[in-house]
Amino acid sequence: MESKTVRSTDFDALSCRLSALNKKYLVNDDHLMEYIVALEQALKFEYRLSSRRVFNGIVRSNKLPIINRGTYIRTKSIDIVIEKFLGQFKGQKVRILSLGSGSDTRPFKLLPGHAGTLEYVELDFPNSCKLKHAVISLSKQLCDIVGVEHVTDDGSSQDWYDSLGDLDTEQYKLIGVDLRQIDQLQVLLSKLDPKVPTLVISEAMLCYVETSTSSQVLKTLRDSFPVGCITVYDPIGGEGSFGDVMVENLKLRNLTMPSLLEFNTLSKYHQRLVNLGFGHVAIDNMYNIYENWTEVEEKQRISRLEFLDEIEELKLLLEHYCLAIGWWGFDWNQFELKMGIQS
Amino acid sequence: MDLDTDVQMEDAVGLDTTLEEEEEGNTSQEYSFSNRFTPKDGHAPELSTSSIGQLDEWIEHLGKCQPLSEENVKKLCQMAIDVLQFEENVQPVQVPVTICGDVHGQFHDLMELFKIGGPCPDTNYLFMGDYVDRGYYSVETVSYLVAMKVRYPSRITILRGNHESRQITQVYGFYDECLRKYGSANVWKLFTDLFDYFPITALVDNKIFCLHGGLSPMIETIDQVRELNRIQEVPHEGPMCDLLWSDPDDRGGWGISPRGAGFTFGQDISEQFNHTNGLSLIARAHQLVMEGYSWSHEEAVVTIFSAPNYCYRCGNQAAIMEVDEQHSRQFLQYDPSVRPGEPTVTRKTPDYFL
Repeated sequence: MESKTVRSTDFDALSCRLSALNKKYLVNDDHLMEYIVALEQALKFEYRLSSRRVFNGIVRSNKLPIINRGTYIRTKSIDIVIEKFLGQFKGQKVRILSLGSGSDTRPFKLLPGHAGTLEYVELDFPNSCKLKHAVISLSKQLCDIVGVEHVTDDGSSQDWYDSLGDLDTEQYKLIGVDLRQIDQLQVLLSKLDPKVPTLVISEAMLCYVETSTSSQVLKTLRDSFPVGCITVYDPIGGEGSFGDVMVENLKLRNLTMPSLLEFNTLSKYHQRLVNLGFGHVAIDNMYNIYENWTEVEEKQRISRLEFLDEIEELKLLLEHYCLAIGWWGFDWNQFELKMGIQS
Repeated sequence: MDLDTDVQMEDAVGLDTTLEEEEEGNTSQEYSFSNRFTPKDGHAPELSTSSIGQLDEWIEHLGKCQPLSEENVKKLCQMAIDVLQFEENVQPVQVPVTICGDVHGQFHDLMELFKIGGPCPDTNYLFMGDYVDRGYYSVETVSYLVAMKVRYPSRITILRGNHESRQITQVYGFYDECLRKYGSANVWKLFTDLFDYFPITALVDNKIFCLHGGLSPMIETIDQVRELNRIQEVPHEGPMCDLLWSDPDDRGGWGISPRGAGFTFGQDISEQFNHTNGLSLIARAHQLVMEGYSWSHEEAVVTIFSAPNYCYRCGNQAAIMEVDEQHSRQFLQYDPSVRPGEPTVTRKTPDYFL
């Protein structure tokens, strides 16, 4: 698939996060607004004449309550895993490695609270990294967080934009790569200190890659770090017609999801990770994760935000997305997260 | 049933509804909502030959999934108010009848429904609400059903669902669709004003109580439904809200609804209600069920959902329920008329988490 097509999915996710923020599902995420403001500038260099249309497509789309709720659950559940992982290695140097990170603003949220201990590495297609580099450079706030120099409006130009490459500071790395090129991935990972416990995040990323390739990506990551964890958020096709309909619908956007029907159930996805050598694997669908991981008060807060007329549809949709966590090289004694299948 | 060529004219002049009202006897005293009209004597004005011609023309046009002009929507809604304002909160319906659930703007699937169930007016239909929102053809769908209602008032009954409301349609698509197709909110205003007149429940041969959502802790008898003032926006709480929002539940008694409106009600509640009111069944819609229909409470309640592959995403079957003269029931299930990706329908991809 073209990187451009996949990027549209990043903007989709960004738009969802913005909608969930506006409706107050997501709170305390000032960096997202900061990102959006700088993104408007950066898009002009990437999309030129059509940048306004692209930007409006992101910011002017009110998502349905069902989508806001699902975006909240997805974002929150991964935040919880990150928090648990950071808690496990408190005071030590740790790394978060985000695959296909796109416009994710988590590094800006997490880095300030973990100065000196957290290294945040983001991998994505070179064009996506270039855009994110520009966004960061255009925001004083984001520059200060990742440790690069701020570029004012006057300092920015098409030439400046075209010259942007990777970002590499002590606490933050933004690296352009096609993850499907396993040899390139291996070279890149070899430059990272393997002794640092590493949490890999793949949020709706592996699903777009041919399964043989995505399995190789997983295996490569597994073998690169003696102590690590991988958290995968992916759709699963299920055993009814939901998956078939999804495949057909995604075709309209030129998107393919090879893993959707191959690893279509929780147990199959679980077995996949077990087979790849992840020592401990826990998995559940997003409906159960919301039910089991969310405090009663938080559920009440969420239920008051919007009328949700699509209870059954929400359940159906969330049951077709999973969060899988595999870890190796350490005893995660504080894991304590309830998951349907755990080994 | 055999096609009776006289039927259509009878329908058009609304004789059937008048007779039914008289048979009900004391209904007029129970209309607390209206000093404006006198239901005992009042009935929908007779349709002129030109009105019939116009309606037939609109129905043919709409049948091709082409929206009416704003001017014609205005005329249609006025004609519909003239019919619907004389219907009751508990609209009596005779067997045989085919009972249908949510349609949600899936126009092509509605046409499929009429293919499966038989064309109206040869087949009598009872729709239990939620014509608009979510699907991409809410305007055409609701226009078509309202036109059929005006044309064949005693052959088709259209109840109000929780989406036939000003507030909900602004979130779930009908408002935006009207703006997109007509360039202003006028048509949305016309329809949502009309929705206030839709009956909220129906009673099939005094045995099957039909409504969109479910029961209300404030309603023990069907007579109490007759006393409600229905001609208003769907309230946020209270009996009328509950009838359009509630769901049956495996837990007994009343429960708080996760939807934020209405209640959940258990088998004990359904059985008591059916017993009190001499009913054999509560038929309702409102919930997506993967087979198109689903029994609850040991067959005291049935859920019927008539939007296949709901929102072009859910992969569910749809169903309708035929009730014949002997009150025996048969479910007809069906799949989407248009499959995702087929070029006959231009539309945006439904949202996923990407």
